[in-house]
Amino acid sequence: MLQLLVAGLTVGSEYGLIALGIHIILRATRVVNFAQGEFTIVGGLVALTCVDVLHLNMWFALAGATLAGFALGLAFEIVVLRPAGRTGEAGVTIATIGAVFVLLYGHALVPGWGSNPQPLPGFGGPATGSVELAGATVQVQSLWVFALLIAALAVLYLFFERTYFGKAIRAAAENPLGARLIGIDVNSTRAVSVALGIALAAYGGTIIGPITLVGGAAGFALTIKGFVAAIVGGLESPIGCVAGGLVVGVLQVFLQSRLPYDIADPIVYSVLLVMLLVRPQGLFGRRDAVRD
Amino acid sequence: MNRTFASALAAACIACLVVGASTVTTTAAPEPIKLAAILSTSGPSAPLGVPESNAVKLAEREINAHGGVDGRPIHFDIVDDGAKADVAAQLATQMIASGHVAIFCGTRTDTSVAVSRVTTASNVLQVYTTPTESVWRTPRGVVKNVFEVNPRDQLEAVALLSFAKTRLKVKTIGILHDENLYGSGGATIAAAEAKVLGMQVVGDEAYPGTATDFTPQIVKLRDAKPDAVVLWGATTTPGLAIRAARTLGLNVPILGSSGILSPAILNVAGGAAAGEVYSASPLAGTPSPEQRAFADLYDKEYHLPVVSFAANGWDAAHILVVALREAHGKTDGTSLANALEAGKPIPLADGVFKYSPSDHNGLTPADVRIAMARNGTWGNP
Repeated sequence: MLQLLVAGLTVGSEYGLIALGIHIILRATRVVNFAQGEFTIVGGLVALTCVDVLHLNMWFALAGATLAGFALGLAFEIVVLRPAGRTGEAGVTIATIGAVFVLLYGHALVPGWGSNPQPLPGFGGPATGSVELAGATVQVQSLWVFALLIAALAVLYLFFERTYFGKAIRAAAENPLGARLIGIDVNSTRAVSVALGIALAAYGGTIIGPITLVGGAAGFALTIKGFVAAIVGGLESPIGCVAGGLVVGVLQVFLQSRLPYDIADPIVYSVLLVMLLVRPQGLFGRRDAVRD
Repeated sequence: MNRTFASALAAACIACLVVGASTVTTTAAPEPIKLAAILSTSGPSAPLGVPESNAVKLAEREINAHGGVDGRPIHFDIVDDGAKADVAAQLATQMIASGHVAIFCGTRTDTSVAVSRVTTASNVLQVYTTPTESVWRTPRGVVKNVFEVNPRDQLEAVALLSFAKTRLKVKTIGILHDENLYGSGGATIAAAEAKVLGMQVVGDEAYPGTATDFTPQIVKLRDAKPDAVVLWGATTTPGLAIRAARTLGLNVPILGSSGILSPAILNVAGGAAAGEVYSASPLAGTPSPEQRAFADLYDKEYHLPVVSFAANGWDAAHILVVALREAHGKTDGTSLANALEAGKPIPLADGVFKYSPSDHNGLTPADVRIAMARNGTWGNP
């Protein structure tokens, strides 16, 4: 039981980080970034380059992947989302779907990345290490995933609650016109929001990489699981997104332990429909948070 | 006088042009025979399709360096179906319409099936490289124009389970497989062969091709306490499954299909930590002269070890060429199929192919050998 719980929380941490990235970008742009999972894949691959080519350890690789994700996010907002925004929200949504395919097929062309998932070393030891906890075998890397998830949430909380720029981003997301009137550069806050969302995806792809490998074609499936997590937890609630990810991860693992895969997985996806019908604000969202 | 000279000059020029033209005609290289390779070089099956594509390019060069088909060079147009059956079928239609006389497709069972409908309707020879015999052996009989270039699942299953029973004294097995056609088909055949050999199947678990967490499947198999696990899958995902098995305390021998016989999978599985792992493949054991020759060429060209998909691609290209040579100028599907069904032994990287009207696989259990992983590399058990 504990083994399944830890496995569920581990995959759920990744879903939670993807959901949180979707939430941050949604708040800033009013559209769902369907390429969020692909940026997770690219982030893991940047970490792989840091390790294999630059011979950095995993901590520097994590910093490198996160910074690269931030830079990529800024470029994504300025070069893709902003011009697409001139055609309305539908244009931006379609642009993010286009980005899925550019990143999916594009990353396979990068020397050293290819289309084959590749292993990443572990944090603080080998990727295959395990410990006994209350009679269950737990991967050491799973413990690192939880610790690094909590660290990321703490940094984000401090940024949004205690810094001027974090507060400016929240204000601009809540009321762009009002923010402009008080002198906030809404274009900048929007770009930084997208960059933060993508940096979070890259961070998630790297911390889970020692367990799940990096690269491959699983990006879009990750986006959908992240989206299910966001809907379950509450698309308008940052804490709800992370909690939703953990709930979906645990639900997925427990269902798969009881039912054949081809029955368990559709049930996980159907939770999205059930939540939209029964509780559209999600488990942790307020009813008044649901927009028209 | 001038007119006479001009006339003579004009006549000389025309003569030169005619001679020149005839010279050009006699020395021009013969038109290459157009062949198509519709492979999954992008998308989830790219780890299979890319080595196949590499091998086809190498085979084309080597075949042409050795005279092509009766002096005519061959040319493969290699196109990517993105692991999508509908795209593969569309590409096959285009290739046939543009004069390609035979098709190598494909990397996956679903793309191979989709293309077989097009090639059968057009009477065009097709070879494919998945170990699924149902593409050519259908309930309506043998599909005349479709040939398999890989030991079929049953041969691998027989080799693996016989080895497990006689050498490892295994009485109960658990099965772990990819949910796709390759994995589920192989699992069904492995379960049937286990029963034939008197083994009990105590668990059967599927995983998606994009799986990153195997805890539910491994915990269920571990609780069923099998003597060994049969693993049917490809790409690098089985490596993660092996790693999860060892991490979660499932330490019985793992017997994998040829899809796992790659250094990359052992690397993902944790190298030496992968424990006791076996695979059944024509590439296992002491290499034949044909395997050695191909491995040397492949290494020289790409600086990579040969994986089974590369061997499949190399063999597929050669089998099309054997059919063209034996059909003596005829290129319709029936003539090319008759040429292969004549049963001339064709020694290649996957073994000695000997097709017949009732056997479009052509290999025997003798072509499948067992490999064992030891300290992170594949060797003899």
